[in-house]
Amino acid sequence: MRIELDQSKCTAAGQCVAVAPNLFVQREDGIAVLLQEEPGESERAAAEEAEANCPALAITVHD
Amino acid sequence: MTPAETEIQELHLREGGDPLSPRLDLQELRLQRLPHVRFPNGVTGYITTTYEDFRTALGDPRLHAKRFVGEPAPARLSVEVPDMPGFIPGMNGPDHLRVRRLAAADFSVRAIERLRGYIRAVVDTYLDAMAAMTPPVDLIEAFALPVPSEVIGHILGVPPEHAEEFQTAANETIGGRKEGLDDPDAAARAVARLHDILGEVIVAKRAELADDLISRLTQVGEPPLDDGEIKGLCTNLLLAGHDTTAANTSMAVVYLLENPHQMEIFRAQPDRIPDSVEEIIRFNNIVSDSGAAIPRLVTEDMEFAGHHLVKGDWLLPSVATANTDPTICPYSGTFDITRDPGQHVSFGFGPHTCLGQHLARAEMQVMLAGLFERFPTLQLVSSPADLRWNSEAFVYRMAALPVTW
Repeated sequence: MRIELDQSKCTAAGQCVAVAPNLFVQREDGIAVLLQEEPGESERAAAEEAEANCPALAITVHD
Repeated sequence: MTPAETEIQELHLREGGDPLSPRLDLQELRLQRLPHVRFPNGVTGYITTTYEDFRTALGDPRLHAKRFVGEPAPARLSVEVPDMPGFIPGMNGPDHLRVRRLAAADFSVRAIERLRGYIRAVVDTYLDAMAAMTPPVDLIEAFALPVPSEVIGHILGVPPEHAEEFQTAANETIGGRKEGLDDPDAAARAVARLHDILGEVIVAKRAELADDLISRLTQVGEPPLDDGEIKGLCTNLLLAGHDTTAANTSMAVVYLLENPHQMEIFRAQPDRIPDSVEEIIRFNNIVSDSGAAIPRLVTEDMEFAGHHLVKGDWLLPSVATANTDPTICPYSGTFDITRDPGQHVSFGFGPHTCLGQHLARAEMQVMLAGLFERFPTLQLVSSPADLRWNSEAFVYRMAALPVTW
C-alpha cells in the first residue's frame, strides 16, 4: 500500500488527522502532511477512511 | 486594534444595481489589506481581501467559528438560533472533529456517487410535476428547493412528510424572513419543533435500524453521540442542505438564460457540466451578501496581515474577494463556464470546509442537466432586474424565480 497526498488540493479540513493520526498531521496553516508513505497493512483501514472522507479528494491510496 | 485607529467603512446590503454582476464595492475593498468594516447589523470586523488571507484565516486555530449569535451579519437584526450541542458550524478544535467525522463518510465523494441514480429519480419526479403545471411557475418552489430538501431528508432517513416543517424551520432561522425577524422567538420555536420531530425519528431508528445517517449516528462514536448531539448535527445538515443548493441552482438558471452563448455551450457539451457547475459556484457567492464572509472570533491577541488583532475582534474571511482575486482567477468578474475551474473557495477552507460539497455539486449537475433537457424552451418571465431577493438571509437568493416555456 502506498499513500499519496496532493497538498495543492488540501483544504485543511483535518479529517485525515481525525481518522488516521498515525499517518497525517497538520502544519501550522492547517495543510496536511503525510507521515508515512508506505505504512504497514495495519494502517490500511485508517488510510482508506482518510481517502474517503477527505472533502478535497487530496488523498489517494494505491495498492 | 481599537476602532478609533482606523476608519470604519459601512458594508451595505446589495440594493439596486445588477444582481448578476459581482459587487463593485467589494472589489474596491481590495485596494486595502484587511479593512475595518461595519456590517448591516451594526457589528464591526476586519474583512480579508485576498485569496491567501482567506486561507490563512480559516486555517488558524486561534480564530474560532461561532454560531450566528452576536456575529457580523447581513441582516439588520441578528438571528438568534438557540444553543445546541452537535451543531458543528459553532464547534471548534477536537470536539468539532469528533462530531464531524461521524457524518463525513455519508457525504464522501464515493457515497454521493452511489446516490446519483436516486438524485436523478427525484429530479425527474419534480420535472414531471412541473411539466403538468400551467406556466408561469416559480422554479424555486416547484424545483430548486424541493429537490435538495427531499435528498437531504433521504440521506438522514427522515420521512418525507416532515419536509415542509424543515423548510419552515430553515426560513425562520437562516432564512432571514421578515416574519421571523419581527418575532425574536420564531427561530427558537422552529428549532424546537424540528428537535421534536428528530427526537421521534431517533427513537424509531434505534428501535429499527435502517440504511441511513440517523441510524448510523445512533451506533457510532467513542463515546457515542447522545440524542441532543444527534439532533443538533441533523438540524445543521437539514438547514444547510436546503437553501444553499436552491440558491445556486436558481442563479445558474438565470446566468445561463441571460447568457445565450454560455447556454449554447452548456447544452452542446454535456461532459463539461461539472466544470460549468464549478464556475457557477465560484461566481455566485451565496453565503451572505454582505461580503460573503465567514465570521471568525479572535480568541487571543495576534498579528494578522499586518494588523494587531485583540481577543474579541471579529475577522471576516470573505469568499467574494477570495474568488475574484486576480492572482488565482483571471478576468474574474466575468461568468465563463469554459474557464478552468481553478481553486475557488466557495466551500470554504479549514476544519469547517463544507461537508456537503460533493452532494451540492452532484445535485446541481443533475438538476441543471435535467431541467434544460426537459424544458428546452425555458425562459424567464421578467427581467433579472425585477427579481425580488432575500437580501437579509444567511443564504443570498431570489425570493421567487417565475419561468415559462
